[in-house]
Amino acid sequence: MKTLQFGYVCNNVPVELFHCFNIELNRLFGGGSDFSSADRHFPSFCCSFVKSVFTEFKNRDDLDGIISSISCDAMMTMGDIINVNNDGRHCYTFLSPVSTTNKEAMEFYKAESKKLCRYLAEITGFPFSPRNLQESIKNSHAVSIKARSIVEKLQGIPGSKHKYGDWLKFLHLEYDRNPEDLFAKMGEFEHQLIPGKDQVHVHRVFLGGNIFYIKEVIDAIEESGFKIVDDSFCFSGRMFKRTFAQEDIARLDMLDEDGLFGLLAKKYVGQFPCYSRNIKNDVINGDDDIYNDIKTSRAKSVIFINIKYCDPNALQYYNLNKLLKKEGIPSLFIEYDCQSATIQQLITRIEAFSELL
Amino acid sequence: MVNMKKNRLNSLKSNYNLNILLNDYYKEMEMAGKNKKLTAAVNLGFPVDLLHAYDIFSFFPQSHSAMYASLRKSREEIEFAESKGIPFDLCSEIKIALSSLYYNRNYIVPLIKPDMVLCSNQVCRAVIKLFEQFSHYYKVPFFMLDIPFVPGEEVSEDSVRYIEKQLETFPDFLHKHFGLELHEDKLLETARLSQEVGMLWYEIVNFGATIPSPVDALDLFTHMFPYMNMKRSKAVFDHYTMLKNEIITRMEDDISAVEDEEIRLLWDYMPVFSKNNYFRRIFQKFNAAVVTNTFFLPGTSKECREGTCGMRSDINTAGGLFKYWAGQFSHLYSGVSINKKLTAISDLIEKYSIDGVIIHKDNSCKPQSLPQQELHNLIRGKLGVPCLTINADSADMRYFSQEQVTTRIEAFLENL
Repeated sequence: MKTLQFGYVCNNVPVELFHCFNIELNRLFGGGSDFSSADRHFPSFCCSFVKSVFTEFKNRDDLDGIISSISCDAMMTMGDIINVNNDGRHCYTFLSPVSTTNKEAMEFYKAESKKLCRYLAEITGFPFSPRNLQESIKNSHAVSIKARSIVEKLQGIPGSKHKYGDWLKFLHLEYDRNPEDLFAKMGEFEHQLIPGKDQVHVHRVFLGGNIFYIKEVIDAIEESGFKIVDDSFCFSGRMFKRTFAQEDIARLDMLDEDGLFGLLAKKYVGQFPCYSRNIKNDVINGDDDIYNDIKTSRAKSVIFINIKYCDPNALQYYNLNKLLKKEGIPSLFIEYDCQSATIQQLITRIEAFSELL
Repeated sequence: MVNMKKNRLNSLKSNYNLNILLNDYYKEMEMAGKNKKLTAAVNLGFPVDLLHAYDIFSFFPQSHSAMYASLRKSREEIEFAESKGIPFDLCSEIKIALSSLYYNRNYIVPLIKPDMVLCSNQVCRAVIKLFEQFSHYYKVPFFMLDIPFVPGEEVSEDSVRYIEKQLETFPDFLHKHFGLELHEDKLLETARLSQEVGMLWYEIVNFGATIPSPVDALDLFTHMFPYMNMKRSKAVFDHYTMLKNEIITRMEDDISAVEDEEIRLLWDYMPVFSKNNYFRRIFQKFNAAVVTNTFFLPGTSKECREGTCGMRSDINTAGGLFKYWAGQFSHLYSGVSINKKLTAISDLIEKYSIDGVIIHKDNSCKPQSLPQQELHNLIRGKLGVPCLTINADSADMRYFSQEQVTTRIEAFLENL
């Protein structure tokens, strides 16, 4: 039987469930330059990332379906539009709670994961195996731990031949491997992290925002003399910073089916926030996860790259910026619209920011 | 005496009473702040009846912004907010609310400090951030009512249960932070009174189905405010009785909203507040009347579409009421799939004998506007009803090009 291939986008999709049904997941990174099919369905002020993901799914015949998750208003609409224009492929809407702070949200996430599990069993013809889910959770956890270990090394090694941009590029290229392969590849990457000739001038910068991998922008940041020390991008920092608790992994074999779904809820409802959800973070009074990550990474400046029309991120940045100003940490806010991409303008702004520091 | 047939733009007389009611409401809001009465900032999708049962004064910060737009004072507020670094692409209503919050720009109506912030995700995600900021700025407790999206035709039991469970925790929230106790009798009485006001409101809205329509839906829209925001007092009940009687009198006197009505229109989404008269003039030029609005729908369930979704008389416990509300909120028009919206629109088209649909694509309100292009295609393609999309903004007139809109409306109406 052919292995099913599904596309997905956001971090609130419980990837472990797909792995335990042997479904290959493909993270849709969007990008691209042809938006003609999306423009027929979306207004001009829709987030261009969502449009590009929609286009990517339409153009990728290798995908048997898509898991659309309710992560933000635009993603919600994208799933809805794909459903309305169903081309015969699977399209499942995964309802993840907007709230992240109450136990009712955890229960709802659990219920929705179980529903997804029944759906995956139905389309694959495989029965659900708690044993497979345990394995899948272990592997996923190992990948997250390895990723954080690599980031910590990249932060500490001066003049390494590998830059942070290489790590982001690595993730972009290797993301869709199954967790065991990805773990092995990460091991190879980590092994190559050895100190090189120290750079004369480095300025530690934290990258915030919700973008996907844009090579030109990342390169421009590093070529302007910045040393990227951490990020909060959806596909890297946000993805790996919150994982399963070590004590939960230790008692994994003792958990029944309900307990395993409880672990998924614990990870995904309470994980590193996407600002389009209701989170406990109080950026006005300095209790914010990104702000804390900036402090922990000892960054001297912040570059925040926002996909244009993402209001929750832009709004959060407004307060984050006020907080950073108080602390004397300079920051640059860039908005990126991949449909009318003006990379050179962004590069000019990054260079100007670097010269001001 | 004014001849209403000749003076076509003569609005409802009840508009005057609405102004008095609003004035009293804002005075009460100011007094609530001074008298230490408990106040709550809420948004659409949160059951305000629940607050009124506790005698908590509720206000919608977005309505404050709509007020600025209606009074044509929104532009300076928006530009002020932008000058302070508030992001340019952000919803104009949020920009106005933020400039009130951070820079005390309260010279038209006061936006008071709430004692609690109660947020639902029915409107959009950006408003959650706005409400979080209110909560953090004033250091007051925050309660989130998460209403899941409906992806298909059916609302899942898990979703309804999730809403119900959250509502059940609300009395504990009020007890924990303010020491308040829930009085079940008062809650049920408030809910029943609210039901009466709601029935009166939907009776009024249904007059639009009469041919010719005695009432203009754009004019009627502002009368939603007491139903959405205000405590169900005698004054509110009397206001809707007055409005209903005025419309009945119009019908008896053979007065229609538009003289020689030929074209009947459905308006999707909010009006462009400061341009209501402009739209009414241009529609009247073509004998076209806007007879209903998708926002007037109580919900998208079959019962709501058929007008039978009211509170059952056998609901006599708080738990029963929470369950009923959970069912109602899960069907709100703003939180359902395109297909479910289309079914609701199809029913409205039939019930109100609609000739054409006008979609207001609001630049500020992204979640409501994002599916509209698809809806436009489906209304034309599947329902076979002509449809026009107008690009504008409910509060920011920089996104409104009057000449372009005029040309498009004229071309559309000429071809109907």
